[in-house]
Amino acid sequence: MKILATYNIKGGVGKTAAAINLAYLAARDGARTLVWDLDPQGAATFYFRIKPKVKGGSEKLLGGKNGLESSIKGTDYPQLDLLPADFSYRHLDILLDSEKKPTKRFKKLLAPLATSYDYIFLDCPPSISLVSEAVFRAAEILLVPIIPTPLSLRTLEQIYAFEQDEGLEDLKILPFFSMVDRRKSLHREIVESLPQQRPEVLETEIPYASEVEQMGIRRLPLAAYSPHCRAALAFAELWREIQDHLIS
Amino acid sequence: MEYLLPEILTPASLHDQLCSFAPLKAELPREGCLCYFDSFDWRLFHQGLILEEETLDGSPALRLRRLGNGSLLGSVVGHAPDFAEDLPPGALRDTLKEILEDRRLFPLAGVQGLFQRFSLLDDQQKTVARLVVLTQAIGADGPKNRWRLSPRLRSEPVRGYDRELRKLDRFLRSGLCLETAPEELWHILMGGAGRSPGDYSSKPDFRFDPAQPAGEAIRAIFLQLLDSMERNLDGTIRDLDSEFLHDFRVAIRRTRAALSQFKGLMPTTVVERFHPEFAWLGTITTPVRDLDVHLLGFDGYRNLLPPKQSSDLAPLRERLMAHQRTAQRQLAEELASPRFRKILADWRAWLAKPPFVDLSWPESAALPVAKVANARIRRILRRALREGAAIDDGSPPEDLHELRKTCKKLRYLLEFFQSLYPHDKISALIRSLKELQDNLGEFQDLEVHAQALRAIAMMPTAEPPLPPETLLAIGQLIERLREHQQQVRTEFAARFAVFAAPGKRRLVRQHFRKEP
Repeated sequence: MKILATYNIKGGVGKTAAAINLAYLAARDGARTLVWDLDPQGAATFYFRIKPKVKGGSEKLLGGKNGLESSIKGTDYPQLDLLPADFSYRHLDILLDSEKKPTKRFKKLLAPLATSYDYIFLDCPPSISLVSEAVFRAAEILLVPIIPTPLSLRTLEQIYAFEQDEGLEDLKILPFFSMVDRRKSLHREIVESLPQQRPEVLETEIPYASEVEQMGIRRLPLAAYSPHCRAALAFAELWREIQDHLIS
Repeated sequence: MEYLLPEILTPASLHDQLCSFAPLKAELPREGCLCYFDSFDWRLFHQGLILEEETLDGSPALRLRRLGNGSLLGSVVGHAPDFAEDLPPGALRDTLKEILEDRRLFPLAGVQGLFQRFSLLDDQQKTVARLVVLTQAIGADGPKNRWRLSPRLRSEPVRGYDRELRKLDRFLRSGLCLETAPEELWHILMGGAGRSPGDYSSKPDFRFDPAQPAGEAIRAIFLQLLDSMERNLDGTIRDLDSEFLHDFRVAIRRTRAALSQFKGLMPTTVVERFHPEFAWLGTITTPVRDLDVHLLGFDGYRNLLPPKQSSDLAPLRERLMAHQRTAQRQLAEELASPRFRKILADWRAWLAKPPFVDLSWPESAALPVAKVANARIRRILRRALREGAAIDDGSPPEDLHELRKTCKKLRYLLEFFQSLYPHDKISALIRSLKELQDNLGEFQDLEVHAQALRAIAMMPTAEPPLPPETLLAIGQLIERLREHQQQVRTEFAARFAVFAAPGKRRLVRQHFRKEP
């Protein structure tokens, strides 16, 4: 079981779109895949047309005997499941704080799913908090979508600083460019310059595309309604690149 | 849940009736086929699993499911491979590799027809249950054997929507009055193909009545072993996987052991005629098996050397593979020879006659099998205990080899006659014997491997020499094998102590008495 998280301190950068589309591609290739929508806004849950409700809320999910298994729902796609968002996730930080070893909690909760899933994608809420720290400790790969703007670069540096401070040497941070508009010179400049300083930045960039925005209207993964558009092809290429990192 | 669809229920009518139950998304019917795979010895079936290759409109997908509830354990896009290791890296490959090891997958039976999928939706247009309808279905296990199947429908769960599935099943049973299929498709197809799941196992399964005449029991043992030889023959000749030859040889070895153990209970002429013939079969099958063992253990060889040097072994692997191919060709020729065919035919012809109609059997063949089994097991078990107790740290390897041969005889006798004894006692004895045999076997195998590698390294002029770095790596490997052999040797005393625990003599007295 490989655990990947899509994360950025900043909101609106394409975290959920990445989690959904990559998870869909993994499942389509035959892998048993789970998305855990950790964001109380529940965007991933909305895309999958599932009620944003977990029985007993976060409290039961974190402390209940059944663990996560009983709250998992199948999506419209074979082998792709979702652990839905719940509005009570807005208090996850407080709940985690009251647990023993809070930052290791998610890792422990996810461990029993190892025989059921090949990939688990954690779709994280923005901000840096106890929840994100628990995610960093559970995940093997942190996928960081970055819009090529100075503000996004600043948040990326904050993530690296946090990684250093907290000694997260087991976590592989893989940034990738998201919502790239090649018509903008600033985007072009940053896309070309950042990989020189940060060679781990993935080569594939996800273009800014209206098809991606339509995911909210259609409530479908991109490849399910527009498999040949530029963005869908970019997600497929991104998934191949991520898999190479997983193998290596 | 699977249901039979009445012929009068047209697809259009089925669709309309399902729509009246819940919002429905229907895919177009697609031509396709579903083929089920397993190993020759039904390893997946024994684990309660089925491996299906579904090809719809030319696109194949491979899925591992649980037999019964159909839950999915793994899948990949693509055709079924010959061996688990040919699959792309991932959970499915790991699971199948663990179960199948080096056994080949075979297509057993399949069905082709029109597959139509339906998704049952909720008020958010979200799938909450699935249906698969199969019509115009033809079952097949090859191009010649084909049979018609009645149309059927399967309801499939979506995780977390159990209530919706229950409602759907209720509707199918009560609303549409569909009859539940008495058997699931997998079983029907296996039946149609004339296959009995689990009908082959390399483990012997003999059942005897203690009072049964020994001659009858001996004949039953030989017949089962002959069946095993014949069933593994084609796979051995075609080298479909290395286990065919292994099982073929085990059946030969058991036959040889039985011929020597029961020679006083059988017609002398028969023992004299067939014992050398089965010994010949043992001899001609040895070279390929030895090379198979080298190749199967090759990853282990590599792990014994530092990573840099392990790659130097690649030419050795190629050399071993070339030798294996040559030896296999020779073996296939021997197994197609008139001599071999005659041995098996004559052996079967002789076994066809039960002892009570064949006057050449000695009178001792009428003894109760329990009495004979007790005497043989008692004698060999005592011999094993005696030989083992005489071995100390200074004993030569030949002593260990002798004990190994005695243990093998004992193991075969226990396996032949285990139905005559309390299951827990005999299983415990076999278990501790197996532990000891593993130790003795590993010691001997390491000796054979080291000698064989030396012979390859010193290969005469007939073959091009191996590169110097490979010869160096082989030298290192022989050294590692020798070290490992020493370690195995030191473990012998502890293994034997478990086998020869004080309870064993009591066990002999209690269960292998002279008069049962």
